[in-house]
Amino acid sequence: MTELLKVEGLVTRLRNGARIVDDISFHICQGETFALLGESGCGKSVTALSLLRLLPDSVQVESGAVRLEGVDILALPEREMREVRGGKMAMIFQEPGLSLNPVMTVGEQIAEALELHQELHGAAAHARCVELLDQVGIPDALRRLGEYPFQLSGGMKQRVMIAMALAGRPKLLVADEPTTALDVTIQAQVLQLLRDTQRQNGMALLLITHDLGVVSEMAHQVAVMYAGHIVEMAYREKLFASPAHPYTQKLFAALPGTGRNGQLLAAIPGSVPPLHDLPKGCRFAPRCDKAWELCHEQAPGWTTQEEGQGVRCHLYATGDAAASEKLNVKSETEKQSEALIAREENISHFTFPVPLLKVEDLQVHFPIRKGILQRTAGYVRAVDGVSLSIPAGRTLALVGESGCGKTTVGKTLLQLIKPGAGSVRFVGKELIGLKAQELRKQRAGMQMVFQDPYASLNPKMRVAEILEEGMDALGIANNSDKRQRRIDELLEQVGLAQPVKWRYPHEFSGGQRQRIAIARALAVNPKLLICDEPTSALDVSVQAQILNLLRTLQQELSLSYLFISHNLAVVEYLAHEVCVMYLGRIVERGSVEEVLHYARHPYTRALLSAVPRIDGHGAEVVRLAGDLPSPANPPQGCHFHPRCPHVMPVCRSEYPDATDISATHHVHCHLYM
Amino acid sequence: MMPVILWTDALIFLLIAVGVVSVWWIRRRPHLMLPWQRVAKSRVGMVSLLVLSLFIIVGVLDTLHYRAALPEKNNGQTVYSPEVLSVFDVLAGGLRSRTEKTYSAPLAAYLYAKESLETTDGKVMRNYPRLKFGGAHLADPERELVGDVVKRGVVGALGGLLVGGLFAWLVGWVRRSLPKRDDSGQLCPPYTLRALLITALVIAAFVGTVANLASVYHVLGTDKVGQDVLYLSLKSIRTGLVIGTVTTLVMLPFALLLGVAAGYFRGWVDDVIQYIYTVLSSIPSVLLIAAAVLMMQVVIEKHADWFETAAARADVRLLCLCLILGVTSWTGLCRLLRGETLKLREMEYIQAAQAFGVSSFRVLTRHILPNVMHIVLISVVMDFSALVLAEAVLSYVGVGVDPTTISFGTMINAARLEMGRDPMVWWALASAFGFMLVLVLAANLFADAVRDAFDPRLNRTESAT
Amino acid sequence: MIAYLIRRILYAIPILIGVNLLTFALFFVVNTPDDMARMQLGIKRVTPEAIAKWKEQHGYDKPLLFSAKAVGSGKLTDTIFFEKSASMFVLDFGYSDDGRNISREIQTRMMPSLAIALPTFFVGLLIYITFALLMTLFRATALDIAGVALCVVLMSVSGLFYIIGGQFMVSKLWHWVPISGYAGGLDSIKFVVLPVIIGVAGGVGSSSRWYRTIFLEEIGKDYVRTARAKGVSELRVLFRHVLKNAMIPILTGVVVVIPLLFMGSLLTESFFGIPGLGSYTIDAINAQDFGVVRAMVFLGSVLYIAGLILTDVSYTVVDPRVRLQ
Repeated sequence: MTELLKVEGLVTRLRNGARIVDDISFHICQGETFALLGESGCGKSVTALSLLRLLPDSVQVESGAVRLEGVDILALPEREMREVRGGKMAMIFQEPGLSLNPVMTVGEQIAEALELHQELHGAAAHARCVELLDQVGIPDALRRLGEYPFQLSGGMKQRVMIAMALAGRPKLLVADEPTTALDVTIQAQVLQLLRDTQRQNGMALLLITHDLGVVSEMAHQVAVMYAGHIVEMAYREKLFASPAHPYTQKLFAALPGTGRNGQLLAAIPGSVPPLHDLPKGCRFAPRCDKAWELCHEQAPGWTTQEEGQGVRCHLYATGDAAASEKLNVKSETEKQSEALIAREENISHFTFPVPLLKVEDLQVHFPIRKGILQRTAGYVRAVDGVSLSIPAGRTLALVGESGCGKTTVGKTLLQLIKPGAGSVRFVGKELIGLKAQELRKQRAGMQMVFQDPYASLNPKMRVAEILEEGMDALGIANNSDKRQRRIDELLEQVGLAQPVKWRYPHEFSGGQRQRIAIARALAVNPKLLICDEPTSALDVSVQAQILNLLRTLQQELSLSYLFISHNLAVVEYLAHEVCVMYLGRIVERGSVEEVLHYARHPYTRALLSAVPRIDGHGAEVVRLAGDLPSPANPPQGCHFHPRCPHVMPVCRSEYPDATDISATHHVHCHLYM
Repeated sequence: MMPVILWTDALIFLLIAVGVVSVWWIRRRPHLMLPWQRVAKSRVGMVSLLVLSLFIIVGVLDTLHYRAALPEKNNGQTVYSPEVLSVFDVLAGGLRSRTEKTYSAPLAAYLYAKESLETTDGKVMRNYPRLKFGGAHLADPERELVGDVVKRGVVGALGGLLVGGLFAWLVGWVRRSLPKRDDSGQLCPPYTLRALLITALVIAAFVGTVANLASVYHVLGTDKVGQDVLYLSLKSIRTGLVIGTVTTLVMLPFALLLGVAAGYFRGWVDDVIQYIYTVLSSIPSVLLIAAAVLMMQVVIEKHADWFETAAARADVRLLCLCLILGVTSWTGLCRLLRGETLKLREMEYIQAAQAFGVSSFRVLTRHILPNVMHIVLISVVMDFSALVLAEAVLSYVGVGVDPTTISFGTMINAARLEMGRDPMVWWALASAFGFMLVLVLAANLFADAVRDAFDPRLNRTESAT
Repeated sequence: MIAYLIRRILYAIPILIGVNLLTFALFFVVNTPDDMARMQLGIKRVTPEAIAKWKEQHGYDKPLLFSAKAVGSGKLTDTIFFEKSASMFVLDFGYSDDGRNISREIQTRMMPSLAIALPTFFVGLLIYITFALLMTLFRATALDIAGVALCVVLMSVSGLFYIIGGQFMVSKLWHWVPISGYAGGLDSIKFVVLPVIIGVAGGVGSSSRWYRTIFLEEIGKDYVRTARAKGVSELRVLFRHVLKNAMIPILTGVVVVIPLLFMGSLLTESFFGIPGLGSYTIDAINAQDFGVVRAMVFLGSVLYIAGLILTDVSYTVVDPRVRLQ
């Protein structure tokens, strides 16, 4: 294969000094997919932007060379560089919603690229636009050309971005987290599209991602980045079979997934070091359980091993006795896991006759107002008849894609949103319709952990004040001495040091903030925690820390969780029972085993098969067509029928009732009637 | 001597107290210090703050009012002069008392207008008479004036530099000799300190020059009734500052309370508040101000007996002007705060508080207020300069401060009529505009520094790294 | 869209009633009809009979807000407030204190006001946006910094200075155009030039700087990066992508003033002796003519509300996402 792009010693830094990308070298061959894998802040996006010279004003390339077909594009004058951008090298971005110009039609935006790089104008350009939209699988291309981005769904927008990138017939497509902002079923569609177009056009793909699953589905070669360095580079098969660098190993171990159900995840302690304060030696050394003195003092060099695998680690530097000894250390988490499994076995056979929380036929409808007098013209059925029950000490997961109403369920249970109808009984007491005073008494029992750790802590309050708030409002631990002791206790429970309580949220990383948020919820001794995607904003390694913490807390405090998530792997790790939601209704429910391994509903199956797996590919491939319909105007009959591969005439007219597959496993589908 | 506290004085003291308390409050909270540290890093911001503080010092000195005791006594009781003076008047005593007959140019020794003079031999001549005070020490101004001005100017500049340098050295010495605290470190980076030092020295030299010249000349000339224009300009500063600060002080509670309440409670509360501010903002502001000022004038005229002194009456009018400006200008801030609160109330930390059943009042005071304060601060500093400029326009239109109050607006208004004279009487106008420019420019630059430091949208790149 | 407009226009009615109540209160809380009559009649001729007669002539002999004596809806309509306000909704403003028809006066004075205000507005907008675009194009260079510095200085200068200084410089020193006055028809041009130039100059600082901020904010957005990744040149990015998007925030501040242009500019008109609505207002303020002030307040509010509605409509033109409902 011929070498298309060669990057040598690329250094990119902030104008005020800190190096974001530090001495990176790699090459990409024609038709190859090269994945740059790393957690947030590791410098992978900046690397991509450096290649196209699209860096923001505050960042600049300091040294290095980027050769595209032998031409150093860092040395090109701006005029010639514009030919390269969109011509030889195109790029698509993470947020398709923000990356398209909102006031230009789709057609105009694609035509602009055609005009610049193919010298196509007028009718010829128009015809080519239609062709491109067809190619990226947008139905009704002719009409879509005249539409504006806001009229398209997220997946469609990313397809338009791809069409725009293809317009210049690029040799290399740089895709910066192209599916991170999309739901799994849409992600599967877009990844498929990328693979197809790559096969047709023979272009190379530089894929930037944090998702090991995506890498395993797409990449030929993988480079793992950490704190500005590439720490490991190998062919995909080699990397997934035997990751060499401790960081890569940990990344795999931190991933919740099959076969690891009883054990704790191998979390990487701490967080990525800040750019302006990098460690002197190996940048991973402070978090590495295999590090020894040498690692802290001297930065490791690049070691090449067999099959083109390269690694930046002292363990593999030849002739070091300490290294080979360290290679076989049993990690701390493995020991902890054993202890946890032992404890879990003690309680897992318990039966829970009375449910802690019982929800029946919950409905939340938001009115749509229209006309001169703003009369209610219809409703957005965000939650449309949801029933569930959670026994004490167990975890129920609510799974679904964005917009299915799962977050609304969580907030309605806490009475943050007023439900339209239904019943919420907590420890046997009906919460709906309670007076404010009465409701306050019940509030301590149920608390919530939110999705975004950056938005869930008031930046103007100290940690102690944040933790105190709930106790204050609900009259718990009334004297100040008791309260301080309780705060210390809470911080210890969530794994934070005690002096932390005098600090402000901005001093903490995302994972630490989420710990504080959990401590805040625990402060009032709740029996049930509603966790709304608590790890979706976190990196894999930090996600593992939080999941482990949630699991340990459940053990120690016999908490119940309502775990709201779109991430099936996380659900599998944490949940006992699962409910799958689609468009405001639950379509399938059952134990975690039943739903995730013996799924019945076509939607559940599609969801499962859409998740990229690191252990090879899923058994059956179900690709869903189309997008989630609007809850303001759900399809007639079964809500899922327009996307369902098994659709029957009856599905178009009637919503299916529940069918019992087993005592615990129920599904709403005409296939099983 | 009897201290007099006029209404606006009281409000200024309140403002100073608020300022001191908030400095004390902020110093103890590192997260509140953070944006101020960014302000301290801005060279332009700190230099303009230095200039501004000069203006503020003059303004505050001019706020400490008193009435002097008269020598005669009435039935054993001390009688006080009806004239209200300020500490500034005492310090600038010479400037205030050395009035000429009418116009004279800056640094002139002769009057602007010719007069019939009786020469020693009894003949009557029309010529420019010598000034009573300006350049009175010169024997032959025609020959000596330039040399004397240069000499006094240089001496004054050197003197100013010396005092400024000494002061700077003293400050540096105190700083060095204080025990180093390890927590916050230095507020200003060295390059800012250097810029500050240079500015301070330049200002010291400038003030020295002016002060030295002002003792024997009218540096900026005199106006129609012979008052020193430099004195008038300096007196105008207080009026400008009062308008710029007291107005926001009276408007803030409304804007803050209503804006936040509208955004948080929504529903009918929001409807009512929106209705109020749409009504207020739909009236052209000049007309609303004009109508309100006219009405206020009527009231004041009807109740002349409410006021002991002319100063008190002028002061109440100034205060009323502030109130009116405040009422007409709160709508903008109110709308901003409503919008921000609408965003904040959807934040997860507010929902977390609601999940604890925390009362609305506590949510408002503990969560929402602290998180909209940056908007309040930015808009207060941005409004300041606009208000100073507005005062001049309103006074020109005739709905501004009391004609007896010395302000930039009244100065311009009086001087404008003399534009047609030949040779032109330009100095009063130029001084008023010049002082106003420096004040407003400094305020604008400082406001920019504050906005850059506090606006989260402008700090995106910094927080991302 | 139509439904939206109707709703907005209906909502204007309570606002205008509020405006009227407010001005009404401002005048009558401190200034009773008796006081007004006394002031108008002069000190000497004040007798109770004369006052009563004046009040009757001018329609001030009724209760202010609420007529207890009247029956039915008359309780509200048989009052000074109703009599004086209701007719304004059909743009009949009555007579000023010197006996002229205010509506007709407004009609004749509108033209001179517009002759100044319209060119000032459009020439100004063009210049401000051009200047701001230039600064954006050369952002973070010495040119940009100098431009911003210039803007800050210009916006720190009092508006009075532009008028006084400009008038003095141009007319006194160079004798190009007359200092003040106005004539109809084509002659008006020479009277209009100077006020327009001064009006435009007065706004350069703040407006250009504000637009620059808007452009810079837009230029940091993701779609601009996409355009650059396509190979679009910086100039084209600015004109094809940024300008169109920036129009949305710019319109918010700009369109709302268009109807208010009718009101003229108080300062400019009175300085230059232009017989427009601005100077009319100032004269009325100085003469304390309640009828005229109230008419101008009402007119101003109507125009402001029209401006708000116009702003919303203008969004539908530049922003395809906005559909008014």
